[in-house]
Formats: sequence, C-alpha cells, structure tokens
Amino acid sequence: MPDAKQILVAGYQADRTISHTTARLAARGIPFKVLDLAQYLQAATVVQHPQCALSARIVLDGLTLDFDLYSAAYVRLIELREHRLLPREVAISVRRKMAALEQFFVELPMRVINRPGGRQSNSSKPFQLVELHAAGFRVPRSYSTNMPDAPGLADLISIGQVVYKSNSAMRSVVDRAGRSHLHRLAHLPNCPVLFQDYIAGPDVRVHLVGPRVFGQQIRAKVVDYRYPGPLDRVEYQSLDVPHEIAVLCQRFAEAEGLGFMGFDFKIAHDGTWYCLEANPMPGYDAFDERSDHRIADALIDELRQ
Amino acid sequence: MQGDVLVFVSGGNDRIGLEFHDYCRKRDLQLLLATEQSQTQFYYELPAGPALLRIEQPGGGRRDLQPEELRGIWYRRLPDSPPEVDEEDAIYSAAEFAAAFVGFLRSTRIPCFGHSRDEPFRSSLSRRQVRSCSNRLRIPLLPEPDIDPLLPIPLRDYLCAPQMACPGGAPSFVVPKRSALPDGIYYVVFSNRRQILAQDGVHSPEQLARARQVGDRIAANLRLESAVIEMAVEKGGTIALGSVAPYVTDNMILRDSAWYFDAVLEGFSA
Repeated sequence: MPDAKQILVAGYQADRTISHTTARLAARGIPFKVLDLAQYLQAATVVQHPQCALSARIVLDGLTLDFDLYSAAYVRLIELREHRLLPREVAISVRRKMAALEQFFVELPMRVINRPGGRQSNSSKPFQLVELHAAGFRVPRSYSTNMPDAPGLADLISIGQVVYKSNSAMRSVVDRAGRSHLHRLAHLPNCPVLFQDYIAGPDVRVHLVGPRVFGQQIRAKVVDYRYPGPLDRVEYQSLDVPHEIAVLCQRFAEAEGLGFMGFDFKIAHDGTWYCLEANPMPGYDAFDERSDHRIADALIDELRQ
Repeated sequence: MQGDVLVFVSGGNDRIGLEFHDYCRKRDLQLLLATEQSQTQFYYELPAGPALLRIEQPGGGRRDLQPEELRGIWYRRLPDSPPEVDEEDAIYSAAEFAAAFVGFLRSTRIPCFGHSRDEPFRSSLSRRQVRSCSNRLRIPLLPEPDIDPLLPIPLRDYLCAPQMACPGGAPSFVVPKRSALPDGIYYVVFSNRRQILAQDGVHSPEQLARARQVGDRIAANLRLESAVIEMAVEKGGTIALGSVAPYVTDNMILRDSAWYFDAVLEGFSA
C-alpha cells in the first residue's frame, strides 16, 4: 500500500518541467507517482469522477490509479502543438480526454497546484495586460491589430521601437519590428499581432509559490532571451524582488485562483518594472537549477502542507 | 457615450445571425454582421488608448467605427477563418483572433454580450463551483445523474449539444444529448432577462414563483449572463439545484427568437 502522503504529478513525462519536479521529489525522498499524459491519452479507459459514488480513479491500460492514496497533486496539463494538427477524429478524442482530466482535477478533493479552471487570463495577452494594469502593475504600451492600415501603425514600426508577439497564450519568438517588416502588414487580416513598446533593460522572471517569491534577472543582447543565437551570451542572476512588486504578484495570483505563477518583467533604465505577462503554468526548471532548487522545494512544501 | 450601430460577431451559416439581422432591419436598427475574421478588423492601444473597429460587409462596403459609435457587440461564435489561410494555420489564426478580440472588448468597454467580459475564457462551470454556490445559498443539490466516465461533466447539455466555439479557441465538444427532466424547472438567464421553462401543469404557480426566486439568487451568485439553471421540487416542496449550463443554445434561441433578441438589445441599453 503506497504512503498516504504520496504526491501525484500529472503531466508529460517527457516535459522537462515534470522530470525536473520528479527528480527533486526523488532527491528529497518524497514518494510520488506520475500520471503521464502521453500514456493517459493513449490508454485511459475510465475516468471515474471524484463526485461519483465510487472513489475517484483513472484506469490506464489495466493499471488503476486510486486517488484516495494521494495527498496532493502537481498538475501541468499543457496542450501539445502536435495535438492541434491531428486528424479531426483523433483530435476530438484527445480534447475530450484532456477536458475530462482537467475537470477531474478541478473536482479532486485534495491540494492541487495549479487547479485547472481559474480565470485563465493568460489565454489572451492583451486581456491580461488590462487585468495587470488594473491590478496596479505598470505595463508597456501595447497595440493589437489585424488591420494593415491601422492609424499610425506603419510609422510605429518604421521607428523600430516596438516588438511583436502573439496575442494568445501560444508561445512566439519575440523580436523588434522594423522597416523590413512593413511589407508583412498585408498579412495582418489573416492573423492579428500584438505590438508592444520595446523596453531596453534586463528581463526579470519572478516565480511566486504560495507566499514566497523568487526573482531572477536575465541580461541578453537578443530581444527574446529564450532564443539566443549560438554566440549570444545570456547571464542570469538572483534578484531580490521589491516588496511592492511581490505584493502585486501575490494579489494577482490570488485573484486568478493560482498558487504557482511565473511573472515576466522588464526593468527600464529608470528602474521602472514593467510587467509583460503572468504565466499560470510556469516552466520553471531552468530557473530552479540556477537557484539551488529553492523554487522546486517551495513548490513541494506547498504540496505537502 | 453610446452610438447606434450593432455588431453581431459569429461564424457564417449562422441562422441566429440571419434572423437577428432580419429582426433589426424590421426595426430600423443598424446591424453589421461580422462573419469572417478578415472582415472584422480592429486596432486598439493598451492601456486605454484609441481603438477602431472595421467591418467589411459581404456585399461590399466598409464601416470604420469608433467605440462611441457602437451600441453594442453580440459575440456569439468565432468568425470564420480567412479563406486564404490553410487548414493548419487556421487553428492558430482563430486562436489569435479570439485572444486579440477579447482584449479589444475588455479594453474598449463597448457594451458587449455573449461572453463574460471579466471571465471570457469561462466556457463551463465546474461542479465545484455549483456545489460551492449551493453551500453558500443553502440550496440543496439534486442527486447526480449517471455519467459517462470519459465525458467532461460540466459540458454536458440538457437541451441540445453545445456547438459554441468560445473565445480562446477552446474546443467544441460533441456530447450526448440529455433530455430535460420531466419535472424539471429550467431558469433561463439571457442578458438582463430571465424566464422559467417547465412542463405545463406539473408545477403549481407558487412552486414556479419560488423557483424563480431561487434562480435569481443562483444567477446573481454565479454572475451568469447567459445560462440555463436546472431545478426541481423535492419532497417537502424544497427547490433543489441540478446543473448549470453556462450558455443558451441555438435551438433555444431560435424557438423564441424575439424574446432573446429583445433581451440582447435591452442589455445594451441598460
């Protein structure tokens, strides 16, 4: 019989954030079980809902996961890009299974980080920017459009002081827009783009785990530090998060109903912190490796409370 | 300041869009149908900057509208992808359009209906929320029906299958239809209007009046603006809460379109 204090980790085993989390659980000697989404999507035959008369369980190819045996769950149900490109029938089946699992964790009567079903403001960057601004964060001036001849847009781009990115939660490589992009404005009716004032200065990632915040400053010559060129240096450094920023992060996470978030900032030359977005499912592994596992440990501590 | 122009955003081949257009025409109301993404262009600045909405009509003609020229936007479905976008890219195009348009609605404060302005990505209500509402309001819950274990429960629909593509690109699910309970009382929320649907002769006027009061409390508590709340009278006369479908389906609207269209217009005028 497994330890009653086992932690369930739900996500793709191949996802680095999941494998990082389980490695840390193993290193601390904390029992855990992984519900691998890849296996679930291929082999799940029953999702017994937590509110059914029987106890909550998932049957995976003959193996039963009995949820009475776990004390908490770390859930990272990411939608793979590949899933969107599956044949229609398969895609529908995958979506239904994902939705069933999501609802399962919405209902599961135990500590779940992060429990699905929050406000999901990150699904729209401009929507979230409005929310962040209303919550007290400074946000960069932003322009969302699918109108090729939007007033002032061509001038804005010609000056070269804006970056462009996706409007949705879908990850995009952020870069500066300039004159060389002007001919591409004709494609805007096919897909809106979010332009944003370029803020020179370091990036900052703040991870919020329960009441604790962990800051890391990133200096890079490329606009999007996540995608450096082969010769580009990216420097990371721990950073104390100013109290007022930490408080804003806490309040925002509370409003979103989330206990674990990753906030992205830029610090302008005048010291102003601009919030770019708040991620409800942060891929924190690389930041954690550079911070002596303080983020993972805080996450595990939250799960074990 | 509020203008006169109404905009209905929805994919093509939408009977509701066509009927609403006809309804508005008969009342000399200006309605622009936005059925394709490429014909529904917008520009807006954040936080709180200039904004512009451009609707190109299928037969030709373009309207550039400032937010103050609009009376309201009814956003029912994601408009169709541009024809020149291939099927694979259409998925991304749709997700980006929905995300950007939701930002437009949120930032411009144009009166809108069809999704929650503050929670546009809420496409379902979990039982946790319904249970919590039931606890807060001290309204008993009806016993849960048998459930296909692989189905996402909150998306099941009593009256017809939900085919809404909601903002955010959340998938449309095809779920088995479940008949309305023969002794069920269904409280419909649509914009500022409310109505009770039930089988003739099954309930007393007093029971229906109490169900109306209970529905009012539930709708307010869950901040619903478009929903069907299932209730039933238990032994002893107590009104119990069943499930809550956070949308009103096409078929329901088409059965009594004038009531629903009036509700939309009244909501914009409120």
